[in-house]
Amino acid sequence: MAKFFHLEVKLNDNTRFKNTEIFKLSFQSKKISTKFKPGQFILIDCRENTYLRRPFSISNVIGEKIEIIYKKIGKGTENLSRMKKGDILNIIGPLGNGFPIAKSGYILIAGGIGIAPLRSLSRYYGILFYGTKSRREIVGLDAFKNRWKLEISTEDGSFGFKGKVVQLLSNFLKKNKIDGYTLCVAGPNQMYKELFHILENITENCYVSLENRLACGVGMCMGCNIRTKTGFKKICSEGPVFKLNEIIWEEFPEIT
Amino acid sequence: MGRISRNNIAVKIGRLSLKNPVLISSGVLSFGESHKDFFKIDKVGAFVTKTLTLNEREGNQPPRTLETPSGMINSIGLANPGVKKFKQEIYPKIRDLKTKIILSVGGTEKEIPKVIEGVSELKRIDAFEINLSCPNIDGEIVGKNGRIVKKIIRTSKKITPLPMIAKLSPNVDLMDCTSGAVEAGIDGVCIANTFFAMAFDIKSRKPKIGAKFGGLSGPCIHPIIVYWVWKIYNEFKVDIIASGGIDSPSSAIEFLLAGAKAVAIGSGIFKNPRLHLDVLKGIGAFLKRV
Repeated sequence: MAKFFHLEVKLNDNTRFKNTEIFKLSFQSKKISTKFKPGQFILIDCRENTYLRRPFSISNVIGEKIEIIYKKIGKGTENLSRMKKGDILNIIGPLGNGFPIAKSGYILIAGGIGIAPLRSLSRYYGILFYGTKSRREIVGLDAFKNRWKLEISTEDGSFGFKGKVVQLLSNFLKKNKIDGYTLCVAGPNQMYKELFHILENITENCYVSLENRLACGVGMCMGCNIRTKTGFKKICSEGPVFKLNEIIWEEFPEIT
Repeated sequence: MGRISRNNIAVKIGRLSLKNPVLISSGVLSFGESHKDFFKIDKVGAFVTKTLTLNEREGNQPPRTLETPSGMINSIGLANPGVKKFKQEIYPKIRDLKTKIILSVGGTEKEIPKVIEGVSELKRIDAFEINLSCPNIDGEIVGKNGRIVKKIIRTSKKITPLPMIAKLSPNVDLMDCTSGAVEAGIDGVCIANTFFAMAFDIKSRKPKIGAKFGGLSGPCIHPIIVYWVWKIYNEFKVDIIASGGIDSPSSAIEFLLAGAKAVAIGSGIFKNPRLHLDVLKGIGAFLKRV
């Protein structure tokens, strides 16, 4: 049975979160919804002036509705942001491994747009630590309802704790035990590196969702490899989810 | 043109018979061991594998890829399992492919014949592509002139009776290298591998590629390769597999008009996983109109 598909789907929705460069789009796909595991991504053909597809985490799946939360940062996402309801999206997916299934609850740690892949775990329960630059960039919380405790931080103090989410988590760890929780993290590289040191003697049960430039996206071209404690691994097919302490962080590339 | 008949698109590259003139380039779909149904690999005339070296290679520091205007730079660095692991773990998975398998072999002048020797008993290999042109082994092009190309092909031909293709580099003298390959009795040449290229990040002031530079492919190089196919065909009348920036049936047909006998799809397959099928259909339609 096919693990992933090459599909043309109709865009249902493509809306900007007010006063941000962050968007949410959605489309219907029975095939993707059937195969999907939280943590997986799709490759979208972003058309004009792009040569390679762009990878986007699947942000949530509700029935057959697939949601993608993305940030407009370059040519590809610029094109994507201008697409309208009814336009055709050419996609490949779902790809990659997924987040582990937690034995009890999750502790999610989202930095900025890192909320995108973690939001698909909202179907479970636990604590969400979410940090953004300011209040208007807090997006996607609609999915985290009753079963979640929310701890929010903003760098400018416009909402919640003033400071970075790593500091918010650090304060929490001083007063609380996290045995039994499965930690899942997504955010900027700097955040992963800081968490690696903070969590070193606290828990091994921490997983990160990584990004890198990629070409084929399906595990065949060897273009997205990163160094781990057990050798080079392909982010697109052996990831994008890895154990935090598996990665050799000194060598992890800063992608611009 | 005119060497492919209107109703039968089978072609020969030297002694190698292909059911059609469309190939998958080396490096894009590994050894053909995964996702065969997704890519419909069996439909092409031949599948050229990732370059196999004697010993396992883990490849270059990341980042290994970068999109550029109408193209991309790759700096994979010949990451491959090596002969031993290939035979044990990969070869059993590609034996059922229904397309010709051209095994790409690479490494130093001394290693290339050893790789060929190492796989000589594998019955499912239909031909060899000698990778004389990887830009990602410390920037040293193995087949850097006609004399060395001739020497490596001659030595390799002593070890195997199978058809042999020389993949040449556009970073060195292509005419001189083709001359050497033809003098050595090559079945065909693949024109061409990627161009040396690099890019800087103006914020960090560092190269965007981990190994600093890589090889450029994509539509941006297409017109350059069309020229070289045309010039090489007119000079040598050798069988040419053209590779360089195919992203549509017409960009492939241009190569045939320039004198190529067959075309190879490389990085274009990433955006369009059906590109080789589109090109095959387009070539068929074009020939019916000629």
